[in-house]
Amino acid sequence: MKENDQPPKMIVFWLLFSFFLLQGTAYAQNGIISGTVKDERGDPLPGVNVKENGTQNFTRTDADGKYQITLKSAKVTLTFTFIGFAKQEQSVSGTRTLNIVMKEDASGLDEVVVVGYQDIERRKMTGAVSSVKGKTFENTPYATFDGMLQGRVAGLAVMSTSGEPGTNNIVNIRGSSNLRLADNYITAPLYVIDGIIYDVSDIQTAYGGASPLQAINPNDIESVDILKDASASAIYGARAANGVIIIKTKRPALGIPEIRISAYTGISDRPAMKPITTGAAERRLKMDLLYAGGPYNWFYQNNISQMLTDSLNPSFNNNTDWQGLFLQKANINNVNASVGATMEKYTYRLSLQRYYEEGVMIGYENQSITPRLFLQMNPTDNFQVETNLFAGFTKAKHGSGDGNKYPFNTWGFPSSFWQVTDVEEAIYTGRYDDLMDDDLTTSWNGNVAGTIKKVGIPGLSFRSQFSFNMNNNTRDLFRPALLTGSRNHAENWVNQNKRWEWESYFNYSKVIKDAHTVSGVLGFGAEKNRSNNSYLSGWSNNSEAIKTVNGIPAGADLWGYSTVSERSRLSVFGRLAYDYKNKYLLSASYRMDASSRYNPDNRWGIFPSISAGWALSEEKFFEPLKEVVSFFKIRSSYGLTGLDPGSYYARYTTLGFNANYVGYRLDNGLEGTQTNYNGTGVTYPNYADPASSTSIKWEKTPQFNLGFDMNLFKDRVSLTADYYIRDSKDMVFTSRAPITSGFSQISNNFIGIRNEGVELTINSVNMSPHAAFQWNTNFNITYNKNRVLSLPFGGQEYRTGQPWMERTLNVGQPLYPFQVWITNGVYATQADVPVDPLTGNRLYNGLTGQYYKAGDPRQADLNGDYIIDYSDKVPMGNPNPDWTGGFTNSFSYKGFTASVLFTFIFGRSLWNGYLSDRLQDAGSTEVFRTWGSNSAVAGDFNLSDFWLQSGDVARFPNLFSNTVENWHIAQSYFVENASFIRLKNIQLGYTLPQEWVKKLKLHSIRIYSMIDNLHVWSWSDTPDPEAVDPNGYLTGNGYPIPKKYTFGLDVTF
Amino acid sequence: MLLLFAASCSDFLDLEPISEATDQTFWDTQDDANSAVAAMYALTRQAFNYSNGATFYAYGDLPSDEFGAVSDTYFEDVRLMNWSRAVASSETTNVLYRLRRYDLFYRIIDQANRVIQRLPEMDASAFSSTSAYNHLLGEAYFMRAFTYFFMARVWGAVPLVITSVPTTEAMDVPVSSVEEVLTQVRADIDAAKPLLSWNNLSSADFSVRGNKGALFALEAHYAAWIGEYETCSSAADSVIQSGRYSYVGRDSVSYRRIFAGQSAEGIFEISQNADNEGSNLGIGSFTLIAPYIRDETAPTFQMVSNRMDVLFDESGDLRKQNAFNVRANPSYAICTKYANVSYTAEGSSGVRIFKNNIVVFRYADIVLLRAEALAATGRNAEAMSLLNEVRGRAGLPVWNQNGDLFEEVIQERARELFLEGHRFYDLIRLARHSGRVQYIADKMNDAEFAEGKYFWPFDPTLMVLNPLLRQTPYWASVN
Repeated sequence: MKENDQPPKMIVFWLLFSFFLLQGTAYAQNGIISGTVKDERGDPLPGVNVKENGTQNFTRTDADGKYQITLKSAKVTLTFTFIGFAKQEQSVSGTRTLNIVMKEDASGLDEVVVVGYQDIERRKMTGAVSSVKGKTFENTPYATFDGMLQGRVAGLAVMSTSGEPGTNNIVNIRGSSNLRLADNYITAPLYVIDGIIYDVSDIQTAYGGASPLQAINPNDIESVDILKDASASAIYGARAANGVIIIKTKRPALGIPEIRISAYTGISDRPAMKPITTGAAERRLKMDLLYAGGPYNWFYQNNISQMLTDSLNPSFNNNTDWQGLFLQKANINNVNASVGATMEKYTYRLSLQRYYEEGVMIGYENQSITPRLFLQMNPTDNFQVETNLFAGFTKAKHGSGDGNKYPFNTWGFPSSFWQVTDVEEAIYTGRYDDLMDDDLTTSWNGNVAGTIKKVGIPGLSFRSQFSFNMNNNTRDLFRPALLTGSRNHAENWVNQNKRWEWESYFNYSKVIKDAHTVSGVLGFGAEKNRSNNSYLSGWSNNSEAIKTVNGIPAGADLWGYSTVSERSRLSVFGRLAYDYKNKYLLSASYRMDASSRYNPDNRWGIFPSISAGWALSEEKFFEPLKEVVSFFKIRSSYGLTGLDPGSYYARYTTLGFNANYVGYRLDNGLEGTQTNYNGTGVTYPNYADPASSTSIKWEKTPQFNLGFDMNLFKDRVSLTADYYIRDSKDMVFTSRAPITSGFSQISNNFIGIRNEGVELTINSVNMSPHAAFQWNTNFNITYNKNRVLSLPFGGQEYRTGQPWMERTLNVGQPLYPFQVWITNGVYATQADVPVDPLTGNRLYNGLTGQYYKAGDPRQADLNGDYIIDYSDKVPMGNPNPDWTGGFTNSFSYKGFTASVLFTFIFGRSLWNGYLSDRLQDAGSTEVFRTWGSNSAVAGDFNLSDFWLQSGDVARFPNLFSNTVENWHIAQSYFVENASFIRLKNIQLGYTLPQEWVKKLKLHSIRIYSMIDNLHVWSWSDTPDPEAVDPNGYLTGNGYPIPKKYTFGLDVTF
Repeated sequence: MLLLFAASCSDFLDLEPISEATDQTFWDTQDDANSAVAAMYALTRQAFNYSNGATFYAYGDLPSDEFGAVSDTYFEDVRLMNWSRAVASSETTNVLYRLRRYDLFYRIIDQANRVIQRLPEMDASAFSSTSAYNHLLGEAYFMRAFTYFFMARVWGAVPLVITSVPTTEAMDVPVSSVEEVLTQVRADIDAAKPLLSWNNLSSADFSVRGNKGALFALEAHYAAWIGEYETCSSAADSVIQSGRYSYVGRDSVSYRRIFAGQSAEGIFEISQNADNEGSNLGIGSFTLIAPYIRDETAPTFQMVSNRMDVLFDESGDLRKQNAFNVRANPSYAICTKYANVSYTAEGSSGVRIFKNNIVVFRYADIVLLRAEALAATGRNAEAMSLLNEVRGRAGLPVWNQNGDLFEEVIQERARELFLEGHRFYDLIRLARHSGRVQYIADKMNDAEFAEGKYFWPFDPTLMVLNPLLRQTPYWASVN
């Protein structure tokens, strides 16, 4: 179609239709009810919803808890609802005063949960949905809210891969089916913010790992609902396979405008360090090892590096702490301001936040400014319009700009004996003046929606919403010759993403004879996304004053590209729910999505779900148990969600221009991109990539859920448990293609993965609700096991990665375990080495062609051929956690509050490349030389850790003779347990007494402090086992996760 | 309304790629066709450089008697014809693995098939003339013939694929017989002959893309390989008589210019000399040392100096003087044919860039091939005249007629075409002609020759991927 960014014709039709329905109805006035709403302790409650049943007529209490409502009919029932309090219904007639005392609702059953296109009371939920209140993580010093959810919700595993501010976290709902995990690619759930889809997989950023969630101000969040099973998420169809996270932002209370300013400041502290010894201690350890195990002639021939032996030489007598050079105590500060009010005819809320975090790694920083506007107007009683607008302005700096956190690899990491000059230090830490890294993201998001509250019949409403996301990321990077090693390099990225979506739906809700509740949704949607990306690169010897791609003549030094890609989708969706007296619950949903990604035959995907619940506690026979079990509901669901596979144009065989060949170079000596043969541009299928399949289709995820909700002891304890099986079928992956076709791989719907698990959440109120001291506990734990169900090519093992670091997919096994040799210590003596009875030779290493000897690693020869080679490797350890969860205790007494959060992960493994690389460096054949200049073995090692002479029973092999790849990463002693328990977060707060605050003519003042990531207990050799790559690899050169301490003030006017 | 809805739907959902070409949006103009044809040569360049930039020479030179040792373990196995040495399937950059895999050759085949299928579907008005259309189509037939011929020399029998289908419909194919493959080569040569002209569409592409001269040179080599020396002689003569090719001087500057590409001798070359199309590796990186390339003291492919005296057994051979350097390192003779190299900068940050074309067929090669064909068919006087013509260019007197003429021509080819990807195949033809293996009998005895040891094995991974594929006969019998 030509009118690319215009909504198509049928949307215009819907728009006209919606105006046609737009006819306000006048109501007769029948009476006025007014009164005050207070809590059990006698404090007035502002913001309580007061609603006339069976109508859309409602109001809210003001700051003093007062309300007044004009009734539409003579004899009605008023419903009072307020978050955290039990719902109350009172029947009234005429004009009178009605004062209400609301009871705090520990049961949570009347809480409203946002599911797709509908709000549902928790009592009636048949799906698995968990909620977190924004209040619980308010003012946590993180750039994005996803990290704040760690350990708060059963079934939601959030893991940081680094402490770099503003980067992506791993967010897995009910395990992972991420087939690109081995390549450290992260999948994300679908985020829906106030009804606006925020699909992070559409958003490209110049700096890998920059999180699109930075555009969302965490302090605007009222609640986060995590839709975990298919009954809840299937209505999002082909976007929901990774689960859906729905965010509702704050809405102001009725009456006097509330102005609130909250600010905090603090520091990020140096995190736990890698254990490295420096200076004299380093020299002592190395010399001791050399004396104990090094060949005599190294000393005799004076081979040992002078850096080690000549301790009197001032130039070798340095004590440089290289790690310390890159780390600092850094600033964090945040200011958040908001103003809002709900008036009779309109509601508004405006907020603005500025978050700034300086990196604990020098040269990194992150700043985001996030304004938000919410406007809702009621031009007539029957018609409501609203708009949500939110933006994010993000600015980041990334050290030396090349993505490396340190300028060194672990392999060859310099020893502490080196002296560092100021210029070197400036270069290493990204503070070098001539370096420029401007990474700016502007994100605009919003919607405009109109709702007709009553369409023809009572209970039927219609809403039409246009929403959009526009993301604009530009990065200008200039790296001077000193940093690149050759010439100046300027780069420029522009990534733009424009998405619009139009959704219109009817919502129906009807209670028949006070017993049967019927509700439904029926809607239609259209969506289009367009991405523009461009990149420019220029190499030059121009003045370093020119920091962009400018003044470079056409040719090999100047290079760029731009791409445009588009996708579109049409959807039809619906949900139907029925319940009888909140006792028998039934719900079904349906979604059809058609996507431009597929050919017309496979275009439509169908995503249905069905669920049912039975509240046993509402039955007569349950009465005797009610003293103990106040509520008990079992529920189950089954349904289908889907996922789009990667590329927008997956069904097309695209032609490429690649004329590269092994060894090719542009005339400037760079590899660049070669597209010509003898000056003629070439075009042919991208044979090196997997071939595309014209018949490619949606990935389907059927999911089964069985769970119960139980409240005990008058709702003081609530318990939710779920069991689920989530299969990811037809996952797009590559399999072999006939090589004679030119391609070696083809991408199609090949793989099935199952995630199966159990979730348990316990909430308890440990003190009487009337007590002044309150203590609440939340404990949640999830067990998830993922395994591969099916693989192409007859289920043949799939191996990926470099030969020395392979990961595999095998039917029945989890995703991407590490392929290693089982190494059981070290051969203490020559006699310990097995001998092949046929040849009389000792065990042989097939990679190096050497025989094993004393001091070599004892690697298991699994196939018994007396050769250690690739066929002796076994899968061991994997990056998928088995157990995740958290434990929160919150306390309050008068104005004081405290909350302590522990999070934990068990059953995850890491692959310790840091240890392997360091020992590899230590175990080179020329350690007498390299130990002087390289850090190598300097660390928390003892002499007894290493085999030094025949008979030594040691943890690690011989440092001084390395003939069988002693330090090869693919050995079981580099696979470590990445489990941890983290004292994640401590919040302390004090709300100043009202009498003081009143004197200042303020509404409230609260002071608070937060300590984040205070301590971690781990089972591995690394300081923080969470800070590893998504695929479980520990480089040792990643950005560490800092500790943070903040102090803040929260004032409401 | 329903109709409108349905129509809008498909409009709304039919989005074609904008930034990438697809077969649906491509194949529109002559430039498109030309770009698709040029791709076949780019793919050939990829195939010929696949093993560390040396594939072409690893097949044609390394297993011959040209080098005495190779310092790289796996290339040494190539030299010794230990072609079945086990390599872990994960070591996909290993040179033996790559030399045993035919992947990249089938990319050339598929692209040639695509051109042959797509070009006739294009609108005739897209082309500037019928001859332009013909030439482009002819290049595709030429390249398919060339690629199958090349594979037939390397592996013997290979799977024969002459149509391109969507990958989802592609099937595994067993090997066809050597005869079937060579019959296809013959058919494609015949198909190309009326289509190609002596000149290329662009004069800049002369000798680096297919034309009638390159086709005749291919035919001559093809016919010599299958022993049809009459055909070989006439095809070679067509090249010689065309008047488009001539000798260059055998002084060091002119001689080295042959390998810089597109010299008067060049008939078919793979271009690596154009702007921004050079190489950091290539054959030069394995055979040259300082002062030609920085910081290298010993070559990877090593020829001891006295080997020179055996090959160049007559004094005054200009080629020995001008194409070799025995002084750079006293232990080794350094072949300087590929010393067309420059550095981007002085000092350690400078990157070396070779600008050598891979010269597949050249004038002296075709002249000597005709001499071989004439000798094989008993036309000795004519053969000797051509032999002496080449000798004369090298400053040598006429041949003293000591020994067998056919073998002498092969040895003259060894001197003229040293390190040009010919010697190993020349020795196979010599063995076929004389009935015994000569010069490389230490690596392949007569019995092994009879079983076809000179055909490469398929990499075992290929047979895992294609269950219909069987190992080449000799290598199926070892291990």
